[in-house]
Amino acid sequence: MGQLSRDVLVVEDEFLIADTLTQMLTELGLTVCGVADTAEEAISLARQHLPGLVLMDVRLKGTTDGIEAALAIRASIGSAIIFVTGSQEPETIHRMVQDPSFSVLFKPFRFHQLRDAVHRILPP
Amino acid sequence: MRTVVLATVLYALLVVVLNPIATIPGSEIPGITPFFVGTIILADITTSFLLFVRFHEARTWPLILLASAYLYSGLMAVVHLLTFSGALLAQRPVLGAPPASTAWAFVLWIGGSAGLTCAAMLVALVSGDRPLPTGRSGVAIALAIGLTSASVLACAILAIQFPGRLPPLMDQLQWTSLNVAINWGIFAALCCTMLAAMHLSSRHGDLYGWLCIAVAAMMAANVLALAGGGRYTIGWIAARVCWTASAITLLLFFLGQYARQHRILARTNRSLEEAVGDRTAHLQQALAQRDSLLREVYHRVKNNLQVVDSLIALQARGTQDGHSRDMLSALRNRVHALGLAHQQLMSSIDLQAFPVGPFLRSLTDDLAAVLNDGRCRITTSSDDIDVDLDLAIPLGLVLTELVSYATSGLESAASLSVGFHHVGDGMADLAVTMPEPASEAGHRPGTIALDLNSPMVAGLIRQMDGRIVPHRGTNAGMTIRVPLTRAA
Repeated sequence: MGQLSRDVLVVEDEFLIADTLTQMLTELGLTVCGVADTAEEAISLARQHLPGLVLMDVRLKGTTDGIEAALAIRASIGSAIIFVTGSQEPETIHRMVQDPSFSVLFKPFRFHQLRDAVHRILPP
Repeated sequence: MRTVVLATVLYALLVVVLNPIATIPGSEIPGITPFFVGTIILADITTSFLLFVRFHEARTWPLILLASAYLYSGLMAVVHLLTFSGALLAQRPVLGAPPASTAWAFVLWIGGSAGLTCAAMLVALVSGDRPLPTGRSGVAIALAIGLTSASVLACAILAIQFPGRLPPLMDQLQWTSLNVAINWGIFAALCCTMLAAMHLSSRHGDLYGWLCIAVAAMMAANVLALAGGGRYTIGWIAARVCWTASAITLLLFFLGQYARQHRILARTNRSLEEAVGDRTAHLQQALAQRDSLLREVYHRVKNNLQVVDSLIALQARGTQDGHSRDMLSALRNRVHALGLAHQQLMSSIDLQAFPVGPFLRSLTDDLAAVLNDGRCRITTSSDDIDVDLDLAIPLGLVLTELVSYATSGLESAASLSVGFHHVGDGMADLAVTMPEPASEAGHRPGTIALDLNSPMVAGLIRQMDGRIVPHRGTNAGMTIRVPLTRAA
């Protein structure tokens, strides 16, 4: 694993939500190193940019979901993961918290909620 | 029919085999009579009861006559036992004067029973299974029992009180010619009964078939008794065995029916349990599918609300006018209230209702973070109340409006309290209270909404079937009373 940056990778297949996340992160003084809408693209961008944090949606385009992508990124790069999702099914929640370092932010979220979650991982 | 023929042939063979030795005297054992007669009493009265029960369901004339015949036989067997010398008391009968009373009681027993059974079969041939009018079965049973008991009493009085006025049936221990004639008459009646029952069994089922077997045993008993020619002969003892067999035949039929019905019931019960189990599994599967679909719908609703929020945020970023930005910000608060209600519902077990407390706390925490530049502090309290989406959404929106209005224009940090509590009769009060006295807060006491004058709040209160009630205390605030369960 290489040295992780303070950059953030946004993985979200809804353009408007991805745009809002990017805007909010910028307001927090952080740099968004990329936006991915599939698990494969997320893994590829993470390997390329070594972000310190990944905001990850669970349901993505394609067959691989965000949890699998998060596990792969966590294992190969070591980035912190915050799931930003509307999924609250017990099985999905169980899968999301299988790694104790993973955090979850449920949609619809507010700026202060994102700020608090991000600052726990990347203190200002 | 095959069983009937087989049983009849067996009884006929028994008669043929025993006939040559029927007159041979056997041991004089008075105790044999209570044994046989006791069995007959028990079997006949039980069979009679079961036939009356069957009559109560089917309400046909032949059944009530047959039940009466068995009741008559059972009761007359008691009379026979009481008049039989040495049966219950040593060397003498309990009632009457032997041997005349005993013989007449016996003849009236066998003759009456055969006559009633024959009558039942003849009525069955004539009337078929035509039922009595509805609601008469209880009266008919009572009447049948009464008439049968009266007949038995009359026969008992005749045999016990007036044996001397009746012609003799016994000469020492031998039958008289009258006795023989009566017995052949009974045999003839039994022949008629047998033919009728055989005919009826082909059309009306098992009961008549088993009755054929019982009648065959009775016929064999009569022939053997006649062949024996007197008491305690081989023929006499064999006749007692046959009468006893005849008495228990229908009882065996009913026991067999009970066993068969019990088996059918157990099998039906098993198949019903399996069907219920399958149905329950199917329903549980359908319920799980419904829950899964519902969660999917709520998930999409939440995602779309986030998209709407993002759209408004995008719009707000491009808006320079402060008033417009405030309006868009208020709109985002309302959208977020909707999203929170769906989030709570998705966390609930049944996807129908959720506790209002966490919902109100999340909502007020978010409002406190975004309103008045985060300088607002909101204390929330609530009772343990579950609400559905129909109540939670307008409740959340009204609360958002009231808190937004209460904190608008405040220069300094503000503390509000929000409460949602039971007030009885299925009602709850949503109260928003400002810490400052009304005059200092710039509101009239007890009113935020009146000053607010918001058509949206008024409409949402109406939607909840709620109303504004006087706000308690001297601080500014507003209380809205809402029903927790509304008429559909």
